[in-house]
Amino acid sequence: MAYLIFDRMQRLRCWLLVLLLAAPTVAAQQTTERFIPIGQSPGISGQLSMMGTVHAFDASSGNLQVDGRDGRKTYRVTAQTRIWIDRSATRQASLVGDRGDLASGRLVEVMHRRDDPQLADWIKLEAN
Amino acid sequence: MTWSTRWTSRRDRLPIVCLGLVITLAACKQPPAPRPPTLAEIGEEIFLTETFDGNGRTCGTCHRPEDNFGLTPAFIATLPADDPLFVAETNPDLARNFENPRLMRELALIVENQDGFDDLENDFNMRGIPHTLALRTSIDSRDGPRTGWSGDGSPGDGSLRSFAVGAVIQHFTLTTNRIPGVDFRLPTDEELDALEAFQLSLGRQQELALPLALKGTVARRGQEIFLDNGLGKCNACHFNAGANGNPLIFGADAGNLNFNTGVEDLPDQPAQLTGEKVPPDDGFGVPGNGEFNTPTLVEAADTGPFFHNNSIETVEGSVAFYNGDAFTNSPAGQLLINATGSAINLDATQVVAVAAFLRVINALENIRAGLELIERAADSTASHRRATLLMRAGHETEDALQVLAGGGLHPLAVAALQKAFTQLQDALGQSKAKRRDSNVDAAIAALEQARAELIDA
Repeated sequence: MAYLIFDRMQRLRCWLLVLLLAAPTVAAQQTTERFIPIGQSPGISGQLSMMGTVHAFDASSGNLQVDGRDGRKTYRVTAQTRIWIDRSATRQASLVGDRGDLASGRLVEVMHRRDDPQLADWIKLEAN
Repeated sequence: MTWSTRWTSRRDRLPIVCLGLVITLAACKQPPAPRPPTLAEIGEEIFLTETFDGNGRTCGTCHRPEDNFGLTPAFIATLPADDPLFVAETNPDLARNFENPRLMRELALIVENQDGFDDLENDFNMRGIPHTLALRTSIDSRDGPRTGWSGDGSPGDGSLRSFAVGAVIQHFTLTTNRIPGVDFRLPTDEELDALEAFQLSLGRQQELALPLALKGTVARRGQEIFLDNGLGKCNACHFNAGANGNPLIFGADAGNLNFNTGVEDLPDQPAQLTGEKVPPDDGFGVPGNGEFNTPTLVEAADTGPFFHNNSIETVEGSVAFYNGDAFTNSPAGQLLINATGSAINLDATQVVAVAAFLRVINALENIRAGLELIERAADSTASHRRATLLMRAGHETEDALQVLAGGGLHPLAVAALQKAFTQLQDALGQSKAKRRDSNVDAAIAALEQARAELIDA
């Protein structure tokens, strides 16, 4: 009987571990982030994200180069990367942007994926 | 006469000595200087009063101290029409796509735009308002903090500290444009620190250690079923009746876990029965993967309705959910079948026994919290603060009473809780400290008596 219980526990553990490995790991809410102005994301801005200006964006490779205080950094921008236009300075609602908005010289904040520091999770651009 | 000889003259010294005595006595009679508020107390003030320049709502508009820091239809029914909860009914700018007043009033459901704000007409979820008790024990996971119903309720770094930022954007806005500095202001870093400290201070600060030495026959059997990995199987995901995975199964640092338990597949969900538009809720992530996080059970019995969509009213119904097709056919249910060789299959008496166990541990937590609140009230020098804490102790006592009486459990404990509640009410009405202290002492004794009816010391 004890063996049976142990066996059950072992099986339960194995199956649940499989489930856990398949589970996603990013837990931050993605939708309200859009309305938070550049540089004000709690626990992110000034700690995990990079602020700077767009040096260049290569649409074919998806590589975005950003010049920041600590030098130049390159991120990959994919279809999953969310891009928002921050218009809070002019007291207007934020907009959903796209890769075409990644023009050189624009002020930008880039947050990378937690599981891949080269991959852009979201990008906020200051409105023109 | 010099100044020195004048000072030595007994006749002249007398009035000065008297004056000195008067000053000393006056100083002794002055109440002690109030201590500066703690960070949690500052957070409480913000939680309950700060509107962030928005539509008038505060955190406490939905997370009511009187309603276990959650919100139920019964409590909503007591609110005046101009309560800020009902801004969608009073502010024309929020009349569309902000709340559904019918679902709010009937089922305490609120609108969440978990998957984005681009199509407010169609892309939303209707969710209940979870309590904010025992957060210290229930939001950590190996993958970071899990907040809100699906574990992804907080923007920024996803932490409890950041939660208020997302809440202000979603629920406090003056218009659905949601422009910072126009429709609301975002909380400052100091406010976020204080709000986090307050929320972490609420409720239970540590896990239970099951099994407990319960006295009730049915509740004791319910605890056995709860802990039995071949029968109730509850303790796998609700370790020690909390919100965390069993470390023997999931590993020591698993913490809070997400599962798709099939709640969305329940037939005849109350919200859907109303005929109102209720899009399916896809849970964690964008697009969602159908998973929701595991809530703590110690606080469950007095914080229904249950599950993210308030689809089940009673704790008995919530236990029975795990017998049904919705759970059995869900990814989590199938996983459990593969792991243990069978679905959860409790008969009615066993369902009631597990629910009785949940009712008793909830009542024990109410009693613990009530006694703690009374102790804090005794330490408080401010009368309004003391009254607030005693009132909250009364709510805890009333909850314990209702939770036990609702399950037909422990009539002697119910009688003791009724006595404790009456004494606390009397204490609140007393103007004389001595009588108030006497009422409070009687309430403490009655609460301890009730606890002794439920569990061996």
